[in-house]
Amino acid sequence: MNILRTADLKKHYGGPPSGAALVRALDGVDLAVEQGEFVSVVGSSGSGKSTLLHMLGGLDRPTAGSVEISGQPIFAMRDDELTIFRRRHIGFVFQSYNLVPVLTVEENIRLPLELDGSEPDGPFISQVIDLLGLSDRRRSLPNQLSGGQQQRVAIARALAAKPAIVLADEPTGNLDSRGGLDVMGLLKISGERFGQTIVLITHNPQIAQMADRIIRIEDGRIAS
Amino acid sequence: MTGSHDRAIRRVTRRSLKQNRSHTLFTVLAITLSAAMISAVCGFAASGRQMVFDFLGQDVMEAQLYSATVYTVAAVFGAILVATSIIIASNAFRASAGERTRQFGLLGAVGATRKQISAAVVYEGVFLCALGIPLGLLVGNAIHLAGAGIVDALFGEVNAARMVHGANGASELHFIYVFSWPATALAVVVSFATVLISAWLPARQASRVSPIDAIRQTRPSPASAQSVQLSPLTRRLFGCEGGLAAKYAKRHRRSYRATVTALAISVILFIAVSFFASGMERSMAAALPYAGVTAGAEYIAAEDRRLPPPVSARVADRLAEYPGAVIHLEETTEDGQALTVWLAETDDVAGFRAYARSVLDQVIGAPSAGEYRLNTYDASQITAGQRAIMLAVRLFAYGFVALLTLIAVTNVISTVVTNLRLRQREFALLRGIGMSKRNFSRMLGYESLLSSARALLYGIPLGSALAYILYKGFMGSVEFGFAYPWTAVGISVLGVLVIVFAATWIAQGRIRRLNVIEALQE
Repeated sequence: MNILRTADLKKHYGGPPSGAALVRALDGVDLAVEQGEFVSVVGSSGSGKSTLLHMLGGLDRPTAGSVEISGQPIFAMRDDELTIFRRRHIGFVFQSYNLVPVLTVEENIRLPLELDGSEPDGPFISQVIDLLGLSDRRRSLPNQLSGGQQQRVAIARALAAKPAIVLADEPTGNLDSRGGLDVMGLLKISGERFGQTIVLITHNPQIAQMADRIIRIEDGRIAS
Repeated sequence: MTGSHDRAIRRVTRRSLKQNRSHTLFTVLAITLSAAMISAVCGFAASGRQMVFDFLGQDVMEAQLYSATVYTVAAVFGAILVATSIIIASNAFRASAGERTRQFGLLGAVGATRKQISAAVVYEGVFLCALGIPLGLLVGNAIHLAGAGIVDALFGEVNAARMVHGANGASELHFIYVFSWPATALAVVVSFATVLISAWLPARQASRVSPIDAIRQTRPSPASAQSVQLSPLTRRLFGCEGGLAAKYAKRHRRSYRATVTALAISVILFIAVSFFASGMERSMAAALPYAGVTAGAEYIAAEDRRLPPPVSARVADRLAEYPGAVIHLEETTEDGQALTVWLAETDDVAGFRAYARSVLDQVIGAPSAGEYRLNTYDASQITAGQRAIMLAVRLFAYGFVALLTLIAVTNVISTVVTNLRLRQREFALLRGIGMSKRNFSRMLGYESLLSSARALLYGIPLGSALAYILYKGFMGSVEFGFAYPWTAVGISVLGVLVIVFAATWIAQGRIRRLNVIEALQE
């Protein structure tokens, strides 16, 4: 079953009304990802891979085309509906961690659930925290953690709501190669353990190799 | 949204407020002062109404009219206060908007709806008000109590002079502290609304930024390299640090603008309100001439027996021979009677009266058969009464200026501190690539100079314009020319420099102690 499907997805910047040169960040992307699959998207800087991920996660609206997650066309929703859909069905891991600095590790992990007002699954969250090796860091603040640890908190946060899909944007970009491989290993293990679908963006071939499938993107189109 | 939905939002807001302690503190201080002033104005209005009703009786048409006047004056002062508070407080909130933009973006990315983000703003406002408004009410009532005490003491002199006559034989004015629930409720509602509007304006902007932009912290309008090009003169005059300061000012117009706006508003208000205060003082002085007069002599007769000018002049000359006396001569017609008055400024009232009596008798001749009357009298009490009224007016006017300035100053400090805190990373970077503490101080010094100069550039003309508008609107009827408020302008130039440099110096201490590596990693 396809958990994620895009049809002729386009995102253009600039162009006639603004007077700036037209940039086709995405120029007709058709993509399908199956339940439980671990897909990596590779491409050079400016190839449009981050833009693609933002579209997949509903963080930005496309110029044309559609994105369906679990069979639901997400851009048919109003902004707030989309936000609520996002927090229930999509987990994000960003390159720059993006933890809320004033909240502890555990509070950061529970944040999406609390925003949703849903009852957090305590045992599940403990399981995630254990798996990611954060058990003795529950009460720490993000700035007391190393980069790798912060990224693990971000992964735990993405998994906490048991989303349909986890989207990771260069999660290892700010880490050294050792830390990067650790984080990747944990991402892959937790994906398998909890049956998660993961789409990962990277420009690092070694990292990309860890996925089940590699999608190459060039000039806003899928190359292979 | 139910309460449980927003628990996380409330927690984030509370922790952020706790972490930005100095900003929170200054914002609470600003709210306290605004609430205090609004509550004091409401309280004075209540006291004024009470005074009018006690003096004239509640049912009299005039009393209703006078109390309406009291309310109008209170409403004008209140409106100035509310407008100032909104501009100033929203500016303080805007200064931290950069940080809020990022936080809202983070929350948005993990699934906070716009409604929840608005809830964060409302909660922040409620939290700050919960601290600031009760404190403000206490301070406001203290100001009201003290002010009423002083004014009532001044009225004691007016009452002693028996200058006023009310209904039912009332001849004493009393301005007493009255606690009024409606006034208190009004102060609470107005202060709360002020804070919410102030928080809402910048937050609405911040919540519109898309999560990605907020996370990346891309500036909405990045300046092009061309536009931050400086003239070689700046570099020559102020060196590398000056160049950096000027570039920062050009590139980060937004955060820089918060400080400049805060300063400019303070300058505008200071110039306009002190002009207004001195104008009030002068129109009072015009209405109550010869403030130094302590004694008088008069000639009263039927209209056709007016005193010939040479005679009254001769009397004036003779009276002026009394040691230390200054004489003012006035001739009027009142109720069909001709009146010639010689007013004297003298320290020895009794001696002057005796001397004046003899002069009048000598020059005009002792009255016979009631064709005219000659009189001398003691005017010292009346003068004291007039002085008391003027002092009361001056107290109100300059007290208002002082408190308004205080609100503005707290705001300036809070924007400067916030601005510098938000730039910690940039500072750490500069230190990291080899800027010495000395260079750093110089750079901040130039920045202070730049923002002061820009604030004065806007503040002085606008403040003067506002002063002129006030002059046209309020004082057109009173006879005196427009005097440019030079003193106020001078004080504001000095004040701006002192405040900006002091605030920067205080905030800088913290940044100097900053660990470069930690700040860069943050």
